[in-house]
Amino acid sequence: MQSSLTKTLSLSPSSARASTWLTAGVCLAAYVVLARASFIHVHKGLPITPWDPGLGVVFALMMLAGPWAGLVLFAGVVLGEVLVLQNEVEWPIIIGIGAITSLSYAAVTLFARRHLQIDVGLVHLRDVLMLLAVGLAGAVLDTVVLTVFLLGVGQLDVRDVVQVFSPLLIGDAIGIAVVTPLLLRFVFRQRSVTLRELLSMAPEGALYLVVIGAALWAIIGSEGLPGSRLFYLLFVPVVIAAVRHGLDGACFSLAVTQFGLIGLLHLSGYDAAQFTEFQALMLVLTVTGLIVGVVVSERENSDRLARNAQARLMERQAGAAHAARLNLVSGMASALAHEINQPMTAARALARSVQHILRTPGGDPARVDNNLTALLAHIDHAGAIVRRMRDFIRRGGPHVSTIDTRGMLEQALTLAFAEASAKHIRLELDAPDDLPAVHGDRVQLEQVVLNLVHNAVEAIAGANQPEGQIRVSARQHSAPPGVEIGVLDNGPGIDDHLAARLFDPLATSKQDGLGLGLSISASIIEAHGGRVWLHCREAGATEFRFSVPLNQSDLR
Amino acid sequence: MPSSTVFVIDDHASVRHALGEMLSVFGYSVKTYESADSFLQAIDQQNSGCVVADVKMPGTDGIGLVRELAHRNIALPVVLISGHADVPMAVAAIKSGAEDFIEKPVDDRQLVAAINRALAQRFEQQDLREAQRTLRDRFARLTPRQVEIFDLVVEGFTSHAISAKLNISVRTVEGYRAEIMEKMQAESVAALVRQAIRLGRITP
Repeated sequence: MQSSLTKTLSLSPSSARASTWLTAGVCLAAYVVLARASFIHVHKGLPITPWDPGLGVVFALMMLAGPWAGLVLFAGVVLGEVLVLQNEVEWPIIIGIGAITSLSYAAVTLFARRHLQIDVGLVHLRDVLMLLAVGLAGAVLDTVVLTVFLLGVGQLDVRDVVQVFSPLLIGDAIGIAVVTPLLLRFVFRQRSVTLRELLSMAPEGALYLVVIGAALWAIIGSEGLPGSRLFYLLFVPVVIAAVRHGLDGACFSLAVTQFGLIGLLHLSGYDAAQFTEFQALMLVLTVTGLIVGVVVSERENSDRLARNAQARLMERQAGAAHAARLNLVSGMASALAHEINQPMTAARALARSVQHILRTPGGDPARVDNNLTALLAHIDHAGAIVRRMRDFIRRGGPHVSTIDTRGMLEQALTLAFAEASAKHIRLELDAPDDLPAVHGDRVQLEQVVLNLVHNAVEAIAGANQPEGQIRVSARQHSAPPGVEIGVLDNGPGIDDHLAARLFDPLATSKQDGLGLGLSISASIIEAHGGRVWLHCREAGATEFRFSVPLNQSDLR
Repeated sequence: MPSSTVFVIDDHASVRHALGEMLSVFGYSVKTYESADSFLQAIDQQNSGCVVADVKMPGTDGIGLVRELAHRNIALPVVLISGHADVPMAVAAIKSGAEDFIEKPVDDRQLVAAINRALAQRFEQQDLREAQRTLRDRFARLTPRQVEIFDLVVEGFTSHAISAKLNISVRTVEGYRAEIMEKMQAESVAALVRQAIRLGRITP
């Protein structure tokens, strides 16, 4: 079946044609083999077994590939008459039966493909209902025309009409209802399901086999009672499978039930009328199972779509946060370069002094040692800045972990110190050692701190204010339990106009700013279950604060 | 002559200490200051040597320091260093009268060369000023009569001409001349003429 779908893929025309023929051949062979396997009763040269799985196979092909596959059905009916039934029905009648059957189904298939827009992946309830309706319509059309035809050619007695009519109708309908969804789902899923997944489901599948087998044994084997009284037992495994695995579980359990039922009926020799009664019950079970299954699948699908949408949203937010970090660091680039230059200058001078001492006879080893110690400290300082910067601008998805709050603040301030000291602004951290750990994305929280400090630096520097001062403070608070972090500066304050739309994207007081910093910060903190606010906008004591709750049940 | 010191001024303690250590290992006498303002408070006109200062500092910056020294008439050469040097800053540094402008991380050969060049120039100028002062001291010891005769001698009057002009004996003129030559420590009239030019008594 798979190759009928490959027609839509970019195969070369010749290989697509070859695979189409191969599919048609496989379906034809399946039709004949299944006709042989399911055939029990013959009524005057007609197979009246109320079970036609071969039709289900070919109908699936017709739904996928189009009405032309009715040719396969025609060939299958004719071959089935000749090879399986081996009776003496005349050739024109055999041809007539084949033509009526194939044209009936070709007609409903054509109608369905033209007007109904059935998704052959059977993703929605509507698709399943439409498929069943189309199959039933085909079965009714086929059976009615066939009955009239057989009456007309004298192959059928008027008295036999009911005896032939109902098994034919039910056989066609159930063949389509059980087999066609199974094959369509198989074609739809075969690319997305791995062997490992299938193997992991094997034990549960085996359990269904056992349960269904036991129920069938109870139904068929119960002496005295008509078996159909216990038929309801089969609803249990089918509905459980449908609820647990959706449409696929339903299709699987229905196929197992149907084939098991047919097999047991073969062995125990039920008569045609009882067989038909069972198949009618089976049809009810099938429709029930399929509807439960597709409803469950639909809900799972919509859940998955919602989760995917959520994940994409988070990806986009992480992307925006990353872009804002790059912007933030590029705004600080000159300050950072300067801050790295200082330890480099010191290290170089100390290295030269050491070299000079070592080249001078009678140099002082203690002085060499001191200078080397200081030199290493300078190199480490420069290295720490570079490392922090690299970590900060590294691209990556959101990464949630438990964060030592004070450590996070210190790391954020490694970069912030560079900028503040380049602008001769005093930056101090006021955070107790016993701050509780918070849960979240470390780099994003650092970004919020750094962004607030950066804004404060720009505000002070922009006002050409001497004695600039920024104070980052952190406190634990208990109701609700969380950590509150504030960034206080003695800059010029924030005017009414800007304060009103502070957290809007693109609101900025800076000429070269993107105005994204605060809105990104706000969305980061919201994602952590907290909030950012302007605590005080007075000149000389402007303070932004944000809170991060400790119990982030809704941490996204 | 007062001793020469390198004054290192940088608000970054690491850079200040490291440059100070390097220069002191190189044999300079070094003093370090964390700001131009604290340096300006500590020095007076007697100090000599060379200043190495960062451009960007809180308070008075490097360029402001150069201007302030000139304003106070303190003859200390300044070598400016900067971590974020750009062309306008370098131009402003040199225009302000800085001796040199060096980017961080500082190449020590460049720094030492700049310091030495600045010190050498100051030494030369100092020698020159020293000589001038000595000359003035000597000239000041001349009596008014001797000054009168000094001027006539360097203007080219012979002893006879001077004796006739001032109505004194040639011997007396010869006596004055000997005393003048001795006081001015001039070994010849030519040397006396050079001194007169340097003192501004005559124009060459």
